Amino acid sequence: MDIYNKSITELSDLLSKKVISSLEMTDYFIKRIKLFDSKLNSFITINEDEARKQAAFADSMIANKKNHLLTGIPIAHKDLFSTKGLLTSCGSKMLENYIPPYDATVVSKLNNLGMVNIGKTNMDEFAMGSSNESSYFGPVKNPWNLDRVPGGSSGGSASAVAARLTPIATGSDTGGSIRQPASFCGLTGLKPTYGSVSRYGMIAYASSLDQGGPIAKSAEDCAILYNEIKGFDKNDPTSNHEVKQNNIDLRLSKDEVKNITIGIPKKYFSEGLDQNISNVISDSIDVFKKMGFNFKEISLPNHSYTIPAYYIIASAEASSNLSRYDGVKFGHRCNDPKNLIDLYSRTRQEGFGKEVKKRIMIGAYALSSGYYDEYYMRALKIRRIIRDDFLSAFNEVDYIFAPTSPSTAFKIGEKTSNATDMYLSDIYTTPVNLAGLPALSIPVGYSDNLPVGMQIIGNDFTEDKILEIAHLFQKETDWHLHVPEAFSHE
Amino acid sequence: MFDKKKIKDVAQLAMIAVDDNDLSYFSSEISEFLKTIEQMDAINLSEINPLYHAPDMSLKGREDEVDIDAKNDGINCSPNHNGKYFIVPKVID
Repeated sequence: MDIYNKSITELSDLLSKKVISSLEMTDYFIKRIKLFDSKLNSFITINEDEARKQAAFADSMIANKKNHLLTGIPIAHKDLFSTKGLLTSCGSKMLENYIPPYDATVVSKLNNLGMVNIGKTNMDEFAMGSSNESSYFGPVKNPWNLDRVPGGSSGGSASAVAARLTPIATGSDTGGSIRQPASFCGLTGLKPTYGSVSRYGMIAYASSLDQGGPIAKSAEDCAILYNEIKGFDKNDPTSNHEVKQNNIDLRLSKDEVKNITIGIPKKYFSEGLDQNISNVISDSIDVFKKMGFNFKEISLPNHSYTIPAYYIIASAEASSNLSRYDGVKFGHRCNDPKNLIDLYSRTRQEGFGKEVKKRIMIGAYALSSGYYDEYYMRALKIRRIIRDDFLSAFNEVDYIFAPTSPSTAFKIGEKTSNATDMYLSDIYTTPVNLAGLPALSIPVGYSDNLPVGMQIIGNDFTEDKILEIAHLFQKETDWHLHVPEAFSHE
Repeated sequence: MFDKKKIKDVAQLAMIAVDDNDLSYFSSEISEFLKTIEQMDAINLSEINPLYHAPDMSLKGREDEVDIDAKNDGINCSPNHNGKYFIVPKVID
């Protein structure tokens, strides 16, 4: 049965009508992983045996009519979500043998609904990267062109969904790590408002920026998953009580559209953006205009300070968070340590890759005596003015459209020798993380046969509306339904 | 310039052992990074308050309750333990 391109709702319908069992559906997607993933390297672990047990349990839930829309649907988790009893490597040698004793809140919520965890996806080491080339388990390939990166750091999740090896996946977004790979792979990816989705059990990179979310084929699928993973969690001290509890129903009407004004930040479209991408986004804005949305140019004047501020804050938090990897409590330990300092420093030399070490050192330097004010404190102040710029813009407009990335998927190896160039690929996504806002990347066309993504950015806790806007667009267009040719068969 | 001596100091601060090849690599990479972020100096921030979390929030605490099962599971994750304690190299001679 040709089910690889079906939506979550369609798959759920097949399960509840007993056209297919969850066990059969699980076997179907595991077969696709075994058939195609040798070309992509999108999975670190295939959870075959446990997935089949979960699927059998889901089938019993369906038989007893205790099922939810997501019951029995396969999902893949980025390998930084802790999964009890299942390897959670974070793409690092440091954790290549780490079996967590508990589930992340996101994982346990979805397990409780009867979703089937078919495996853990590849990622940049400790989520530090924009290309999925820093993984200890090797680079991931983009299904649209196997010579190109899938984006990062949730590159494995994006590659797996794009090749239809799983109906949906989780990702995490610290500086664009859901949206940029979604853009590079022709997918829809949601970075929720900071504090909306529990970080409990999500291996930390930069705690004030990290946020989990869905990577899926459509806004509708993202909404279905987001409905279930959002919400306050007492185990996460940064979880926010203000997150809306209502289910997102995607019922934005055409009359409401006429009252919505979208802001277009001039600078985003004039500096450093590939002209073909600019043209593709302009064409998609024309579609929104025909649907009745209003548009207005806006200014985000301090945009150019984003990259320095982001990399200082993220590195500072990483240097603190990753100090826990010391060879004592969990993870890699060096052989024959001479003393405690030797144990710490050699374990960390052997266990971390170069990009991770570099960011830890930058962070340690930025936080050190004499440099704290010059680097870390200035970066936090810039963070304030970047958020203020967005809040001022939201006094004039309801939502903001922006490119997701200045380029389409680049070639594997193209930017590994030029870190500055790599960091600049996050220029349109990092401001959203610094400001804590929600943003969705949706596919809007192609440039040289590679997918182009566009962001819909909203004010705090407006995920429902940005998903509704995207859903209306996806009812008018079919970019989100396209499957890379090499993976569009059984 | 972030020279090799400075890299050694920072690596020690970060508790990461580095060899000679690493020193050259990180010296060049971190020097390049610091050049990139020089533009932060161009903006006057004297009247601006730092923003630690967005949206602004205060961290919430929870009861400090002992979870015996989790502790036992946790120690099993250690690369060297005796079921009750983590084992590390001798600290005092």
